Amino acid sequence: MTHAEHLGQRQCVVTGGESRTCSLAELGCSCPAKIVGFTSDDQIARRLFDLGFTPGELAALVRKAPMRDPLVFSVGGSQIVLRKREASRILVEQQ
Amino acid sequence: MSCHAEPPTRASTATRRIALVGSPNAGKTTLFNSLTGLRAKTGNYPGVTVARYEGAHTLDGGSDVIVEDLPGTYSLDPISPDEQVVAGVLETGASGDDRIDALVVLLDAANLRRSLGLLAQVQQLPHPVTAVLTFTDELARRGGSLDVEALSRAVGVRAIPVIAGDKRGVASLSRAMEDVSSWKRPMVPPPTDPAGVADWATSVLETASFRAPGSDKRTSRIDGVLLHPLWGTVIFFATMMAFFQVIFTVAAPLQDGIETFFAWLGGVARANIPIPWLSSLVADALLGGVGGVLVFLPQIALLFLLISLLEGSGYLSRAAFLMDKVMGWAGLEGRAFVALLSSMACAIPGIMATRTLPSAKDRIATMMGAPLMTCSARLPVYVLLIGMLVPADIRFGPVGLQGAIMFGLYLLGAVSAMMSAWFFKRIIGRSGVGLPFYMEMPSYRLPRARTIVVSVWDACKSFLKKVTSIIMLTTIILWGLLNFPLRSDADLANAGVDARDEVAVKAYVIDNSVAAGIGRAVSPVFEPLGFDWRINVGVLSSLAAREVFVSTLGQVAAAEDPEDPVAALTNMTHTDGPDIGEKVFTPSTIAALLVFFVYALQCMSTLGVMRRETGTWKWPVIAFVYMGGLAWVMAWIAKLAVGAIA
Repeated sequence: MTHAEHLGQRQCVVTGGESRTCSLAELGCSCPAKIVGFTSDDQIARRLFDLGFTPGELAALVRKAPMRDPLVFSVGGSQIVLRKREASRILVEQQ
Repeated sequence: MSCHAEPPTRASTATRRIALVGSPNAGKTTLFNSLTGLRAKTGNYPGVTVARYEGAHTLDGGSDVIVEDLPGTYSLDPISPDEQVVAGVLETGASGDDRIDALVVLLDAANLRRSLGLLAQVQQLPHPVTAVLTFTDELARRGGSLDVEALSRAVGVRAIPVIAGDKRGVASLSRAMEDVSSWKRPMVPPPTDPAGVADWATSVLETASFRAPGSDKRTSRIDGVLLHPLWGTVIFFATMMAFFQVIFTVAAPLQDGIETFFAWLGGVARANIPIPWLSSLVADALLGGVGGVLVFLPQIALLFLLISLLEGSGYLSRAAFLMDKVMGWAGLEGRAFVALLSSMACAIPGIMATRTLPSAKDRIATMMGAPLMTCSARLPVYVLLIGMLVPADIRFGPVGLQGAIMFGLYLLGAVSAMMSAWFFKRIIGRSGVGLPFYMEMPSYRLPRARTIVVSVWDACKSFLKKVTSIIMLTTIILWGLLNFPLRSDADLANAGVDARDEVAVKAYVIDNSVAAGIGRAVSPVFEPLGFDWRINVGVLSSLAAREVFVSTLGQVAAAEDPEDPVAALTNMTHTDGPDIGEKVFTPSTIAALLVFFVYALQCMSTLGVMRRETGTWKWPVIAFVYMGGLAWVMAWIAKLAVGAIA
C-alpha cells in the first residue's frame, strides 16, 4: 500500500447527535463554535481535517464575501476561505 | 566526501535531491529562492499541467544539491490528479533518475498545529526529514512563543528556525544539507489517524511550551477596509483597473520601442543586403521574428511584477475571495480572475498567470477561455474594420456607434471566454468528484524584493526559452508562403510590373505567392462568410500576430500607404467567383470578419505558450480547432444577421 493510500483510509467522521449541532455554514454570529465532526466521511472531510478543522477545535465566522459566499473562518490561528458547500460539511456545536 | 551512508540508489552526492514540503503561504517560495536564487529551473511534471521548480544549491564544501520545491499542500492525502503527482514524486520520484533523498518540511510557527499534521504525514515516509520553522517573528509579534529545542525533541527531528531574509537560518539549513544521512529520526513515527494525530499535536505543543498567537490585529484592521462589502469592492475594482492599465499602457511604449528598434534594424538590413530575397528574409522573417518574440516581454515582466506584488502582500487571496462567486458561475474559482483579466492585454501572460491556480483542471479550463478575451493585438483589426463598417459621426447621445461596437466585441469576448471555461471545466475529467474550494487568507506581509525579481526573471526566461523557436518558425514559414515563388526582374517585366515600384512589386509577389494559392484553394470554405481569397491571405498571415492582418490586407490591396489601407480596401471588388465586380467589404462581410477575429485563435505565440504550460500539444490543438470552428459558425451567423438588417 502506498503512503497516499494509507492516508486515504483515515476516518474523520464523529457522530455526535447533540441537539445544538449545526453546520459551520449556518453559523450566524462571529461567536466561536466547537467543531464536532463532518457530515460524511470522504476525501473532502479528510482535507478539511488537514486544513485545521479538527474536531475539538474552535472555529468562528470572520466575514462573508459581498455576495454572501464564500465565507472566511478563523480556526487554529489561521483564516480559511470556504464556500458554503464545503462549510456545510463541518458540524459544530454552538457554545 | 564519504558515500558509504548514501541510499543504495544514489551513486554520487552531486545529484542528491532534497525536496521542500509545506503548505501554501508557509514561506516555501522564499526559502527556495534563498537556496537557489536565479539558478532555479521551471518545468512540468511529466504529462501534467503541474509546474515543477527545481534548482541547484551550492553547499559550503563546494558541491551542489538539487532542491525541488514541491507544490504547496496542506496534506499528503491526494484529492486531485495534481496532488497525486506530488504523492507519486514523494513515493518513487517523477521518473527513474530523480528519486528524492531527503525532505525539508516547513512548519509555519503561527499555524503550528496544522503544520504538525503535515509533518506527521511526512514522517511516515522513509526519507530523512528536517523541519524548518518559519514566521517565528510573526508568532512573537502576535504575542505567541515556543521553545524550538523542546519542539525539536518532541517531534524527533531537527527544527531549524528560518526567518525570511535572515541568512543565518538558511546557512544552518545549508550545513545540515551536507549530510542528510545523519538527520535525526523519531523512534516511532507519529500517528496519522485523526484522533491520534490531534492528541499527538496537543502533546507536542505542550512539550514545546507553545503559546498560541493572538489574532492578527494588523491584518484584521486592513481586512476591515479591503474586504468591506462596499469599500472592499470599490478598492478591488480600482486595483484591478490599475493592474490592467499598467499592463496595457505602461507596456505600450516599451513595446513600441522594441518594434521601432527592430523596424530600424530591418531597414539597416534591407539597405545593406543587395540580394532582394535575402534582405527580405533577414529583415522581415528573422528580425521580424525576434522582434515578435521580444515584444511580449514588457507585458510578461510587468504582469509577473504585479502578480508577485499582489501575491507577496497577501492581496491576491483577497481578490480571489471577492471574485470567487462571479468566477463560480463559469465553474472556476476566484483565483482564475487575474488570468482572465491579464488576457485582455495579451493571452500569453494570461495563460502564464494560470500558474497561480492550484488545480490543473481549472488551469486548463481557464487557458481554453483566456484567448477569447479581447487582447491588444485585436485592437488594430477592430479599429480598421469598424472604421469601414460605420462612420465615426453616428452617435446616440454621448455614445458613438463605433465605440459601442468596440465595447460589444469586448463583451462578446469576455462572455464567450467564461462560457468556454465553463464548458471545458464540465468535460475535463468528469469522473472525478468536484474538488472543494479552500484558500488560506495569509496575513498581510511586505512583498520580498528577491521573490519579485526571481518571479519576473523566471517568467521572462522560460518564455524566451520555450516560445522563441515556435514564433521564429511560424514567422519564417509565413514569410516563405507570402514571398515564394521568388520573382526575378524579368518575371516582373513580363507581368508588366515596374521593378522599381516597391509597392507594386510587393503586391505582385503576394498576389502570386504560395499563400495566395492557399487563399484561393480555401475560398470554398470561407465563401459562405463572404471572404474572398485576399481576406483569406490576410487571415492566414495574421497567424503570426493578429495585427499583421492590417498590413497584409494593405499590401494585398496594393494601397499606396499600407499603414492606411482603408480607402483601397473599401473599393476592393471580387476578382473572380459569382460576385465578380461586387464590393468585397460589404457590411455583412465586415461583421463576419469582426466576429471571426473575436473567436479564431489567430496567434501562434498563444499556441506555443499553451504547449509550454500544459506540456503537451493536445490542448493547443483542441483550442485551435474549437475556436476555428466556433469562429466560422459565429461569423456565418453574424453575416446572416447583418445581411438581414443592412
